[in-house]
Amino acid sequence: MQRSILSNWMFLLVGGLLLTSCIGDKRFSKLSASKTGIAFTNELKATADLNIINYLYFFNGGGVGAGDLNGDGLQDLVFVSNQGENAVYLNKGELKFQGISYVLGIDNREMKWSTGIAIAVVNGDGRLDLYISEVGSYLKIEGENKLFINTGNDKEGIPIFEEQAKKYGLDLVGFGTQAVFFDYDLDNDLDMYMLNHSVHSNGTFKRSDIRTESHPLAGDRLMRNDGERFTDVTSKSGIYNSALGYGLGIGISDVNQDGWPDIYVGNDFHENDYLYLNQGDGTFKESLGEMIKHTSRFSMGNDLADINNDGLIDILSLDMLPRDYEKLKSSAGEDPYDIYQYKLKYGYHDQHSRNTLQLNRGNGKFSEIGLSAGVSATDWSWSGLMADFDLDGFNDMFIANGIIGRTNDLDYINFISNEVNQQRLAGDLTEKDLSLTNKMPVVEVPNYAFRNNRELGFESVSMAWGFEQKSFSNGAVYVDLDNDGDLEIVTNNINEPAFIFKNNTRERVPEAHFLTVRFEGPPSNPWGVGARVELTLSDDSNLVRELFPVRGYQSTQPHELYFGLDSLTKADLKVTWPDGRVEKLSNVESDQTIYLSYTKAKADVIENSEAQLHPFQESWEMGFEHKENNFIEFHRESLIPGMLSAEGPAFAQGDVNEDGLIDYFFGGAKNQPSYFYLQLPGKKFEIKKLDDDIRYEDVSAVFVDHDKDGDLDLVIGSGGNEFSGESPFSELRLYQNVSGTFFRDTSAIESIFLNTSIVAPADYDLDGDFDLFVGARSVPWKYGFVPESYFLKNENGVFQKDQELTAQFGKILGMVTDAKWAHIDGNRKPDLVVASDWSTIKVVYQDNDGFSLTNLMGSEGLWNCVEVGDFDADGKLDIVAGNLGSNSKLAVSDGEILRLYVNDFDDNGSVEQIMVIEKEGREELFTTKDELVKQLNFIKKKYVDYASFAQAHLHEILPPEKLNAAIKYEVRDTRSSIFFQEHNGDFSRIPLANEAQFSSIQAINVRDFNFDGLPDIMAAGNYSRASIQRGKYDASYGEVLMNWTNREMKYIPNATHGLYLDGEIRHLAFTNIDRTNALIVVKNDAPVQVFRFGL
Amino acid sequence: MMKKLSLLPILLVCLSCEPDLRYQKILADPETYQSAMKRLTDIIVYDIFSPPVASRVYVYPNIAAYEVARHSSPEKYASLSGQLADLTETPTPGDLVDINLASLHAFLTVGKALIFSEEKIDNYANAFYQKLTDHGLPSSVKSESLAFGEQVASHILKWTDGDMYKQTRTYPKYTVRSEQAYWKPTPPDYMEGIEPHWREIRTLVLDSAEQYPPIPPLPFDMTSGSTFHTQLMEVYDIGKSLDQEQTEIAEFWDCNPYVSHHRGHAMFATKKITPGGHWMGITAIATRQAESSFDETVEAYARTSIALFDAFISCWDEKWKSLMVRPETLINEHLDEDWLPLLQTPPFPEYTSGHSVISRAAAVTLTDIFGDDFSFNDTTEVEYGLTERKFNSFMHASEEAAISRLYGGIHYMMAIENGVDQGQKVGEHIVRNLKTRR
Repeated sequence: MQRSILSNWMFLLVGGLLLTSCIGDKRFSKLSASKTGIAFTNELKATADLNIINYLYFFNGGGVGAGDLNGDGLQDLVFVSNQGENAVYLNKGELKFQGISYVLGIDNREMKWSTGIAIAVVNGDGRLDLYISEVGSYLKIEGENKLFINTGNDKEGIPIFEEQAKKYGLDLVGFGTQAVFFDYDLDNDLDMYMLNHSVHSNGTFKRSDIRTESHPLAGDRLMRNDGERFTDVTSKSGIYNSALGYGLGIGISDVNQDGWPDIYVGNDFHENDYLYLNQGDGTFKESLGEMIKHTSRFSMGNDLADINNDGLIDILSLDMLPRDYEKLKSSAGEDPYDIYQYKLKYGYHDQHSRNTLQLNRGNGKFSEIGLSAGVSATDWSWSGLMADFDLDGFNDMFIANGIIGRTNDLDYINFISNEVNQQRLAGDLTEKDLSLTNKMPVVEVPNYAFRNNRELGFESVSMAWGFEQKSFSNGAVYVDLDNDGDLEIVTNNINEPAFIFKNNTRERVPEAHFLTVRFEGPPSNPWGVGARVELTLSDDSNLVRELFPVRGYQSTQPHELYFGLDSLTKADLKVTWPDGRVEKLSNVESDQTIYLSYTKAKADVIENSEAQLHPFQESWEMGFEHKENNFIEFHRESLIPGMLSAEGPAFAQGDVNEDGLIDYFFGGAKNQPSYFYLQLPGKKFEIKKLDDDIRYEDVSAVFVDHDKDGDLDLVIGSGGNEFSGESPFSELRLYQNVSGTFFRDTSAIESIFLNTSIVAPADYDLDGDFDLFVGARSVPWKYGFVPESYFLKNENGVFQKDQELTAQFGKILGMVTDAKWAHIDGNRKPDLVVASDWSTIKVVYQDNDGFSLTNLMGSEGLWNCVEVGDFDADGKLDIVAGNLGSNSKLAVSDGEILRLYVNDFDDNGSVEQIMVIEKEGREELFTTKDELVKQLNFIKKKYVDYASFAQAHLHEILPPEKLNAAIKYEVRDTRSSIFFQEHNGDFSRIPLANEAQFSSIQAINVRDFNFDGLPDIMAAGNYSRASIQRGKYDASYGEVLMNWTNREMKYIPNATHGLYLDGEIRHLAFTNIDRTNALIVVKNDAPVQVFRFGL
Repeated sequence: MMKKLSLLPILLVCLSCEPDLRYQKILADPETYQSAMKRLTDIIVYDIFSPPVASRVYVYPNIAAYEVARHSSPEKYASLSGQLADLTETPTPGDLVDINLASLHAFLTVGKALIFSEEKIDNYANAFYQKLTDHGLPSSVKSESLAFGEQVASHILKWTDGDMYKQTRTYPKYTVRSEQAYWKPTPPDYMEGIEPHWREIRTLVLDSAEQYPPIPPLPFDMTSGSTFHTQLMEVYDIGKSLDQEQTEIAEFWDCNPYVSHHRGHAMFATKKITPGGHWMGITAIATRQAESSFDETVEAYARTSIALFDAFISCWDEKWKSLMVRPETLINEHLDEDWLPLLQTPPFPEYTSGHSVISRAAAVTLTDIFGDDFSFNDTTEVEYGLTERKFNSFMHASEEAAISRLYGGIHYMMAIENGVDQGQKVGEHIVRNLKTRR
């Protein structure tokens, strides 16, 4: 007995010790208020006068600022309290702080609402001033922004402040979020951008053109520093300042590397985010739509920093997508399809409610890679900060999140909130009614930390790094509070003392080196705001940081730059000051704080960099513009993962009139004629329409001389997924070439009907004429049912169904998307390589014994296209295939399974497609409850509320016998890949480079670009017709992968080769136009583009 | 009026020993049925059913209840089988059955199958049956009655199954047409159009959905001075100058089952009864005021809910044929971007006004039952935070319901006037062709 008690005690003791050492072992440890002396809490108290119902941003919290206020070399902290007194803490060293809030004077207003803090030298005297944004003139709140001028230290070294907003013309009254002081006109003083939010809370969205109408309170302001005062220069600056501006996030950076600082503004709700490019003449041009394909929707905080050390600044913008499945299924999500289209029509940009990470691809183009980077869902997120927390040379991420009332909870909206009736909502709330807002679900969650995996991805390390405590954290800063070279994190929390997380990296990993940079700037910008520092390390990596302290959310980071050097101890440094002056330092030692002085910098000598020659030059449009018809498959099959009606156009090339010049055929979408472009000398074309058959959506075409009369005839397959059965518009067509004019000939081809994806010709029976494989994409109205593909044998110029082959393989090739005949096994008989949706890459081998089908093992994917080439030069053909990619909500790899069940689950005669992702043994439904209920009414009865639906497992939601009987597809890896053929005929899969996984690959061209005798790859794609929940696949600009031997295909940055392809690419074809090599890019719903190709 | 109960069970109980007959009083009380109806309405509100679907949730339970209750006076009441499309002869009760209990049970059983929150019916039913047991209901009577109720309910549900409701759930959604004249989703939620295929639902008394089409809507013409434009301006102008009474009328007849409110990220819904639900409420008021017996109460509900059901189908047929654009869309587009109708525009095409059609059809039916000279105080909306209003007759109430849509800013005058005509014809047809009395 006694012994056992003793041993229990021992166990507890040991356990306790382990636990303590564990906490110490984490990268961060949270310091208690008693240790730091920082007890600040942003206390929030809802009253009848001010609450979440009458002020939509009542839960948005306050900011934090870090700056050396008294010039002692230690970073001090300022916290904003929404309703109470703001707080100032002096850093006394060793992570101890002294509260000196009294220096801001006494604020005894009954009601005020403060939000963000900017710390900057506003009056040019070298001391850091404080600028606190407020909500002014709203309901019973009267207020204006406060400028606390730092008048110097008193005898005790405590900085003394005086409120002087009026004196400087900065006593702005508006719905303030955050001010930024930076030098937009590069005259070496700091101007100011005031980010305001809107309080418009009606759910209507108006035409976006009200964006150009000024609003006195909600509109943003640009204030130019004219020495003594700031002058409002908004009206001619190109800055929007309307009631549509729900500005919650702002960041400054030179995103296009022209030396002028640009502005990114994150707007909540339906309003677009803004990316203002500084024009260098005192104006800005809002250019987001030209540079960024889609943004976060409920944009909150943001940060602009380089995540892959390519010297280009990337953009993180936060949203509120839940990471947890159950929370996701009980929250309002994306708009329904029609509403989404409405907003686009009203002039709003593509927006998805998830965090977005815009990777700067150079040339003013960004790819949104938040999903593949693993950072798209971090719940209700406010601050996003990118900094190198582990000092390994790559910027990591910290995200502060949480909200007191999850206002988008569907059960709250539909079942609980009804208790507040309309009258009370419209009129005044009483204290009693406020209790109803207390029924909103709470999102008190741990903050997130992500470690940069150096491969364009981030690993969630929240727990491992010590961020396990749940909170409502809003503003945040990273700051080296103890001057040891690593970055502490400070957050401002609602109803809980501020968090100070000490970074233990330097203690734990002394060999992780750092360099901190401080600035001695020109007189009016003494702390060097706008300076850019580039470190070149001995391993050739380039680390770029810009000193724009306002980052994240309502917060100001310190006026110093932090570099992690990993194990390296020396670096070459180059600083570029805002006015372009430069200083270069070689072999700067690590582990120090280095001071860079403006006076030492000189005008930059422009290095005579050779004008880079791009192989792809001079693009032009050929004339044909594909116009997709407005057929919305979601209206008849609402659960399909994406629409199949936009997979065209068809494209074929060949010299049809035997004039020695290559001619082209482009298939029209439904209601659009198909066209021949007959090449004439000098980049000119004779254009001929295929007028009669405009109802066909032509998606695949081949020129073949089927009758061996010496000219090229044309076979066209049509798709569109609209017509079913033996519709005339799904019939395979053959056109005879009669002296360069094409006539349909129904006698030369057997009548077959299908929703076509591909027509692939080859003389597979080796009788000297072309035969055909015709791939079937789908069964219209019944996505997921396997359609029948066909083999057509050429018998004396007439294509006839090859009964034997069709019977053998027609129904087992799946939902075919592409196919190619090739000599895979090296014998003289052609084999057929087939790509299909929700299935494997298949090879139909042909040898002396006949045909046999091989599924490439483990290759189940969402394949779009397939090509072949001997990439490893071993004499055996390899297969390269375009898949969905990694940058998708459906992306799976490493043990996750994407699954599709197809069945009539409620026996009402219509087919449902149920898509799930199996993670850790649980099958998570992809569709929302509302979407599912529309197809399966019984679900609504089974789960009236959303919470119980969210908790239910798949086999509880749907009848297990129906699931068992369903057609079932599984996908285990969505990455586009090369399948290298081994000597024994097996295939080894190697995924393409990360950059080629950013989007759905729909076109591949294999060609030796660098004339080294090895085939290289060009891949392109994008897809905009996926369900709204999935979002747009638009991150590819066309990727060139160079064959680097050893089976490595190396991504060549687009900036290097100069090719940037926008839109949805369906064909990449090399050809010869005007006696020059050219690349033809054929896109869905866009003009055909041609690039001259060559050096 | 005393009602004629089957005396047999009472006798049996009397014969046993010290019979406790208090339960009979409960069962004889029409308030028992009223309370069950109210429960159904509450669940319809909670579960959020659109107006046409709600009319379906009302009609089948009341038909089931009637098909049982008619057996209390077989000489007085006629069966609906043979009168309603495809309804075959319903079962007849055995001796031990308490008709009112069976009628309630049939009502609750069918109701439970049609709503979502089943436990809300179960809780109600269990508590009620327990109360009867506590008040002396013999178990034999209980089991026989519930069994018969069940039997009729399953007969009705089987018939219900053939009304195309299930099939229409997955019919294609409406693809919004870009031409100005056609309906588009409206703020704040831009919800997709409700029930574009409701015309496919089996009518009960009408030959088909299109038996009484209204006259066609005015030709779309946005030139100033055109009749259409004038009617559009009327909506806009009235909306800006509503007096207190007009505002009260519009709000009183709002009857929008789901009004959403946006406060930034915060969204709220207020839920109310549907237009059909309001007329079920008026039926409750009328039957109480007329001191209708249990079976007469059931009869009134059955007849009114049948009129509502067919009227909705007739109206929805027109709505999704003419696809008339809502005034809010045109006013925001052409006249005033910030204009908001007093009521939230419901998510379906404008022409004809649903409330006008169904209110008139219900009023014609209720007038046939209770007479034209029937003034009442309409308290239906009080629990939803609205006032009470007095009416001289059902027709008077239906007129006000119709015009309320103009005040509410959600309908043109043509949809109101022609909607009333449509409702009148539907109502008269049903009164003419549906007989509950022998």
